[in-house]
Amino acid sequence: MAKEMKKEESPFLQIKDLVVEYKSDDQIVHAVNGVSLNLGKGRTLGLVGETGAGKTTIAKSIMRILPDVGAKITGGEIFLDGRNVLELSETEMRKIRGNTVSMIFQDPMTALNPVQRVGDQIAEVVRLHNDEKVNPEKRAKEMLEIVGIPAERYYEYPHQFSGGMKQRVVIAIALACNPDLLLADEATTALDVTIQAQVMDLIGELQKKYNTAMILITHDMGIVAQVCDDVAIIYAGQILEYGSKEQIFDYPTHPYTIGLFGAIPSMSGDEMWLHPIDGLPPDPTNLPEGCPFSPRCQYASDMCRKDGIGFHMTEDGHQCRCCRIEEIKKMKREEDQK
Amino acid sequence: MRSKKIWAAILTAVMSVSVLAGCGGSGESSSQTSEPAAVEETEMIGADVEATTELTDNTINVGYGTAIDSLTPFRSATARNAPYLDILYERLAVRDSNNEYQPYAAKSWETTDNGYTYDLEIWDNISDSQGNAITAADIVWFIQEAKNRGLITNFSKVESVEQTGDYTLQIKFSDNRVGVFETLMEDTFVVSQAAFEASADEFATSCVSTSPYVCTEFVPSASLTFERRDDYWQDIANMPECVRPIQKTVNYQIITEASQMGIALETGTIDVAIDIAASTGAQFVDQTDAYTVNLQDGAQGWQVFFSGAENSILAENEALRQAICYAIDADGLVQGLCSGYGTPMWDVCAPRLIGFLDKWKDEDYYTYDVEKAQQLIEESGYNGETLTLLSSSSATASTLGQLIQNYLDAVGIKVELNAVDMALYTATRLDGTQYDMVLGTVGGTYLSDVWSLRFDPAAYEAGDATSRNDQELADLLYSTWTNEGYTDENIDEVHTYIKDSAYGYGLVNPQVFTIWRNDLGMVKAVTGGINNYVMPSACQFTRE
Amino acid sequence: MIRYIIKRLLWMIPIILGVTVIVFLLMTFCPGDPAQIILGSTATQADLEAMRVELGLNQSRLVRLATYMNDVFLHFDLGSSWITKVDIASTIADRMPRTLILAVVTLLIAYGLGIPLGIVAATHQNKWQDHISMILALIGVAIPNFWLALLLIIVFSVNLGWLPAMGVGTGIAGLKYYILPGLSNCAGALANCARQTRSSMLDVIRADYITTARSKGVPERSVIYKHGLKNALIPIITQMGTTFGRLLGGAMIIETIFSLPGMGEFIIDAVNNRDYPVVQGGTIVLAIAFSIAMLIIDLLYAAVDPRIKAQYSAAGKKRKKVKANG
Repeated sequence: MAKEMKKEESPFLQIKDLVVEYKSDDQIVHAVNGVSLNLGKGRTLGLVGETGAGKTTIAKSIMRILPDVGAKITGGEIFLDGRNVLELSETEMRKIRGNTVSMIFQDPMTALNPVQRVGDQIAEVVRLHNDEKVNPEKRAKEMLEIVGIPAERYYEYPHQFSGGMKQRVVIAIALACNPDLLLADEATTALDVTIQAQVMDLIGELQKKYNTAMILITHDMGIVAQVCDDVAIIYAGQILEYGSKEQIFDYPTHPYTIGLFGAIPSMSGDEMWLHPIDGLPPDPTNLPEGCPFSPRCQYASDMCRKDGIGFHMTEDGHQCRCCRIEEIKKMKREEDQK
Repeated sequence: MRSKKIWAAILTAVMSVSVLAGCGGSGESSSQTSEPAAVEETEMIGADVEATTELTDNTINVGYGTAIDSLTPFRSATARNAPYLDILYERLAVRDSNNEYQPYAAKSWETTDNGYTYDLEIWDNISDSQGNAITAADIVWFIQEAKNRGLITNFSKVESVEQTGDYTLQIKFSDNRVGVFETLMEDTFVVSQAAFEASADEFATSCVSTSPYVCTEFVPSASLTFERRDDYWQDIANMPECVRPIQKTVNYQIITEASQMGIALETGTIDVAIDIAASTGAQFVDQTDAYTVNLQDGAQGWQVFFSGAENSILAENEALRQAICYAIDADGLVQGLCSGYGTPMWDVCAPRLIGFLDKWKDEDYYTYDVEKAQQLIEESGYNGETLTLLSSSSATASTLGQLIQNYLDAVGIKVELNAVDMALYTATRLDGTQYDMVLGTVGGTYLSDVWSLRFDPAAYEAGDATSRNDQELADLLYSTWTNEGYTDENIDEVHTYIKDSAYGYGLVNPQVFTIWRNDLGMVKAVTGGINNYVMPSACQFTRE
Repeated sequence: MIRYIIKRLLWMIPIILGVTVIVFLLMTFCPGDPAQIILGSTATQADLEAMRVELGLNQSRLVRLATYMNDVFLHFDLGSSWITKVDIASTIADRMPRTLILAVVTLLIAYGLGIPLGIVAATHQNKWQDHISMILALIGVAIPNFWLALLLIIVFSVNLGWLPAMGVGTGIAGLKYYILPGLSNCAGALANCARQTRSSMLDVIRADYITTARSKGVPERSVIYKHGLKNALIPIITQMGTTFGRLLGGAMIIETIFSLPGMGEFIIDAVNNRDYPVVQGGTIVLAIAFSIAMLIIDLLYAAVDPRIKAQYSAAGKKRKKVKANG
């Protein structure tokens, strides 16, 4: 496993201390609070967290397609292949969207324009980012074939497709211009399991073929286990734990991560009750001081409620934003021994 | 969100205030104009200028407010007095500015049996714009056809009409009442039977007539354009002055909205506006450098009639009727209804009607006297019952109704207004059981036209027009029915009877505005026709 | 699709018949005597009776209805006006185009200005552009159109002399006579269009496929017009249909002010004069025009939204399937 992050050459995507706020009815929603992460080409990062944790916001910030009304990137930098995306003009940004970075959305049923032909929607992105030499229609038909849809269906409308096929069209659109970075926002959540598997396979194939970097946003640990190289656990707009897949799955360190794994029901063993994490995610307009997870954490201490808890590296590349890692490890060992 | 609601409330308030302030609807109600100018009729310019026979190449543009939808010569009473009808077709006779009938297509006429039979001679060289020669047969055909169609009821009084020579005919009437023959001459248009029958739509869209003018363009309800023709049959000197085709081209624009007529006058789209509403006309009165404003007495005037039906307390109560007459201030009506542009009346009939005696203008005609009114109310035994006043819902009628209601309220008589749409009004006004008082604007050519409509108990099933049966009055009326009986004495007797018994009361007579631009250079304004309107085709002017 | 159109056209027949019967019967219940109105105040009883017989008013309602239906639907004869004796069909042929042109000009101005106004308001929600647009819309609804008409006449006709104040003209040059009437007439429709557009666009802009479009790098202008507006059009088209229907009735006030002899003035005068054949004839023609307009609106839906087009075609096909099976 190529766990080493290529620190010598800068990674393709670098996010540094991203802060995003929404303004809603005179209240400020702190959606993203100082997120930093790196991603190299060809690698897949899983962004895991509960609903409302800020995962989609991060992805939309990279593409700068946050809703105009109310959303604002108030801090941080996002480097794409060395360029700070947040400083680019709108015209330059448009050249990047769909071309260098593209996104697959959560709900295929509403992601396509209902009054435009499916093939035209693919051809549109091709036409936008290529000159006359490339025939958009031809390329669109190629993409349809690649995602497993007969090319004749170019002329049909979205309502004539099933959910799974619509999602494939969305994937076709996203990959039509060979993007360097693919953002898959819960790409399979709305699909049933068998289709899910097909779609993930497809994405995987294409990723290998084109060496695309991918951020996979999900709350499904199973998918993460299948597909991702690295994992970042997001809670209340902050990354609480970050590492390679093996590190996170084999050695979860942050109480929240531990809680997440604990909440997954075991297929073996006879369990009567689910083990959810007690409490609710914090109100984003009124975040707690210090560690955002502290109100729910069984290991919380006074130190946890003080601001400025930084990352602690545990092993090579495995980071955890907790100030009581050692104590927790000790306590867990004691528990396991009981 | 809240600020939007506040804005909306403010705007609504501003809107309502401005709409109410500027409310004037179609421009018929009273307006804020300068104090009323002279109430007198203005004398038409050029009264002393000689009538001319010289034709010019002038064009004149005229504005008028009533339209016609068809050029057919067989017309109903609608728009009967429209000035363009006088040049669309030739009548047998036409009225001049002195309200006297002048031969036009007819050359002469006479009756030897007191008006039952008339012998009429037409000119022998009449031809229409297609070259068809007109003979007495065409006239006979027209009268017969008009009688069959029954659109103008006067024709139904024709018992028989026959040709007696190439250019002579004899008409026998079933009724020798004064004015029947004259009205027939006015309503008979000279048309070639052959040309009419050859037309696919009975001349609806284009007609062939003997008039000196040809109607070259007709947009129904919008405009009529007339061009003088070169092959006109008559010698100009033989024509009554008011129909001489002095102008080469006459354009009539039908403008229904009063303020638009004013604008058309201002922009020069029209040179002359005939019968423009007072509210718009009044604003031209002071602009004497640019416009000449003419006021003429109205042809009909407004009246109130009292019900003669048994169920009305007014039917038998002369004192109360007289009280009502005294309680109404005619000058107040002139101010309130006509903005000062009107005259009081001296009889149920307007002065224009033939037979009206000038001496009536010197009589006291229930001059406004509140004390007398109250005295009469006591005599009458009025107990506070509410009287109903029926009128049409037109702006003028309803304003008049309100003014009367206020005057009567001031002396303690309660009045309820019942304003209904025209059709319902026409249906109801002859039934005296439906109202106590009814407003109307009744006119005609002769006094007896109005009297026969209003006071003849034999006219309708239930009695006269207000369901009254006064045989004494009827006898006086009938004595004036014939040419011979239409004497000043007999007329005066009827007038006095109606006045004393207060069966009907002449309220107010709004004046008619005719305005032209001074840059037209009007030298002589010629009037004539049914309403004595300015006849633009016959005027003399020098356009600068 | 063709089946759908044919079906709709066939449906027009019972609708027109129904309208005719209802209007006819309604008019017969109105008080007021047409004979009186035609002959005027000088008529005698005998004359009135004769006229009533000539007009057929002495017959029973049902007989008159049957005769009328026979004339109109079997002989295509709308008859003549009782007041002017002019052939109704040819009068309508003169007047209807004017009302139609006025309606179309009004619609073009109202929607040509209203849609962009609504889009500006929607894309700048709660900012000054939105507030100004909506205030203008509010003013538009509140302004009485006769006031606006006279104001426009004073400015453009009297003072500037650019446009004629009244009347009609022929041909392409004649279109200038419709500009001021169209402008005066459109205020309310423009306001409603702007508000509807704003509201539809706001719904549409929140949609996921708009985000998809942006994420493809589509320029914002295209996002709004090509992706957004096309989806927002359905309610706007619906509103256009009802507005057009109203305009077909003719804007009587506008027609009177501008001396534009159209259908509005024609029919309303006829109602006041109890000129039954004109009212009926006019109503039939308007009903036909309205039905065709509604058909065009529904076809516009199909042109704009392929899901609706599929519905129309499917309706025909379903029946086929059932027949085949059962």
